[in-house]
Amino acid sequence: MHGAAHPVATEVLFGLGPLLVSLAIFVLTYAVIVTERINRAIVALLGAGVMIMSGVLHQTEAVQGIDFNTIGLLTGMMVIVAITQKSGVFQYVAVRSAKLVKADPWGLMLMLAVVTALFSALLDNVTTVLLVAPVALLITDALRISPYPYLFTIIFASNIGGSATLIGDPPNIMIGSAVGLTFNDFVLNMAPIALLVFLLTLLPIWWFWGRKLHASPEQRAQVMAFDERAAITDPLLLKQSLAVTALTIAGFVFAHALGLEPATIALFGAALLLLIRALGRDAEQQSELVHKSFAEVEWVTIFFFVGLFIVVAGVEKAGALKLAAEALVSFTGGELALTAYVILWASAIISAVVDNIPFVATMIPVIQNLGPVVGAANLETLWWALALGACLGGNGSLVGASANLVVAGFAERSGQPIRFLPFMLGAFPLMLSSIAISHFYIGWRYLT
Amino acid sequence: MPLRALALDSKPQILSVDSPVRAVLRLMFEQRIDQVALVDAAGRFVGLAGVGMALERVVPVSARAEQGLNDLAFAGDALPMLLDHFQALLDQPAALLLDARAKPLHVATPLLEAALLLTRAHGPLPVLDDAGILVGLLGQRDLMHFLSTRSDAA
Repeated sequence: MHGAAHPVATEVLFGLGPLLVSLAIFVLTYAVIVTERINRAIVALLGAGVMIMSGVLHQTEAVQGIDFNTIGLLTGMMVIVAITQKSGVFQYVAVRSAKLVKADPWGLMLMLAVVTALFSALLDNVTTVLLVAPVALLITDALRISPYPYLFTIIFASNIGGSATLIGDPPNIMIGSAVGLTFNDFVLNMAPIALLVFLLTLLPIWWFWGRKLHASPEQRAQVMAFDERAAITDPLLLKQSLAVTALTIAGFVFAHALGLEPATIALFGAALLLLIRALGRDAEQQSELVHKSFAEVEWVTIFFFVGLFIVVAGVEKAGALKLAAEALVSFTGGELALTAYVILWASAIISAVVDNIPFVATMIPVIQNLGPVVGAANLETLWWALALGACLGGNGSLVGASANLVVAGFAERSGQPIRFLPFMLGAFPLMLSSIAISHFYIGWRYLT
Repeated sequence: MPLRALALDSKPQILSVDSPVRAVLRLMFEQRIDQVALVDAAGRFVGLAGVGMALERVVPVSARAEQGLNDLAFAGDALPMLLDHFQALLDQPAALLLDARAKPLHVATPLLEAALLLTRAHGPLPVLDDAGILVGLLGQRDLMHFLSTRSDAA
């Protein structure tokens, strides 16, 4: 992932060595990100700038450190989703699902969980919860039941669903891109455990909430009167965007055979959808279409990635991540199973309390450095441990994943706040049990 | 030219800020008006309660909140839901209907500034004196009528 065209200097700033300086920049950057006092994109870009200006990293190395495959994949999918969501297809599916279970409160929760998990597997988690949470709120409003259990379930479903595929969650995108794991690799290795965790997570949710939820026949009739077809605001856009989305996903499936990177497929899909939408419009309308579509890309996330990649490239070049890998090896004795379990549990617990993106960005080169110890062929086990820990760990608290914060923010604005501690009291044990299931899965599938 | 030179609606309907929404709406229906001025116990102006704010409270929060649903056509009439929200609103304090967009003008506010602020408001704006007492309401029509009168006179 990172280039090293320039030799490591012995002194970079105030006579200090690059290891110390890069670690100081790294720790300071991550510490400020954790406090959330300053926008994370600003912090990451500043950290990247200081890493270059201090002399730890040359500019060309910084650019080489940016994983453009991750950036391209995220951006391309964001454009596709931004255009697709205007068709109303997501509301259609959510309302249709609610009606399929005759607006039964537990059935509704189950269906919204399934819809969220499926969308999250194929789209960005944040986008998914932004599309599903308002519909859940409207339906629970009509049923006059508390939206809290539904929003809680949506959070869990989005993080579990996102863990199932290469494109479902940023940690998977980063791991897949850095290591060359394909869409199919993720589906074959992550989807089975994601499905199992999803099903087993629904049991305690049913026990705590599901079995107690009731709505009167009149309230259910109100939801049954919803006309899901009216949610489709643009049938032509619906057809066009679904066709391009299906084509893009097919592209991910065949990417390896085609010799293409996921970023190429996602950006091509985005360009194709923009082209289809632009046809027949004059120059001004085309400009407006492109401008609006690009404006909906989450540039904060994109620039956050850019900054982080550079910061991590700095500590990697200075040798800090090699030292971290050696420390991990000395702790586990280089034993594959113990290393995998440590990565799984540590990733989960850390991802529950801090953003999993910077954590995974740091862990990727650390694990790459373990190749000579555990054997290159065994590294894949560690990647799945990291992916499972980072994705599922996000369920542990409200700050564990961006999607959690988005749902909490929406709930707050809607007068139905989700408080940090009550959420964590329910979510953390549930997250730990999902990691325990993953622990056995890794042991059974890769270590026996 | 300051606003004190204009003919304001100098007798706006006034209620205590502690009144329930039910009382505000009743006054609006009886007087066929869309705004009621709310004052504190000392008679100082607190803000304008608007019928639009009441309507916003009746609309499902899932659509009202930022990044909420843009379109509710699929939900049909949803009359029971609207009635539920309406009934839940009636006993809430009138302060819930305060319209943050109705920023008060001062009697000395220049005409041009008032005209600009009125273009951004959703209804009449309150005009206060130095003591913070409500002098009257200034609506878009009041200002245009003033300009029309001056134009005819010129």
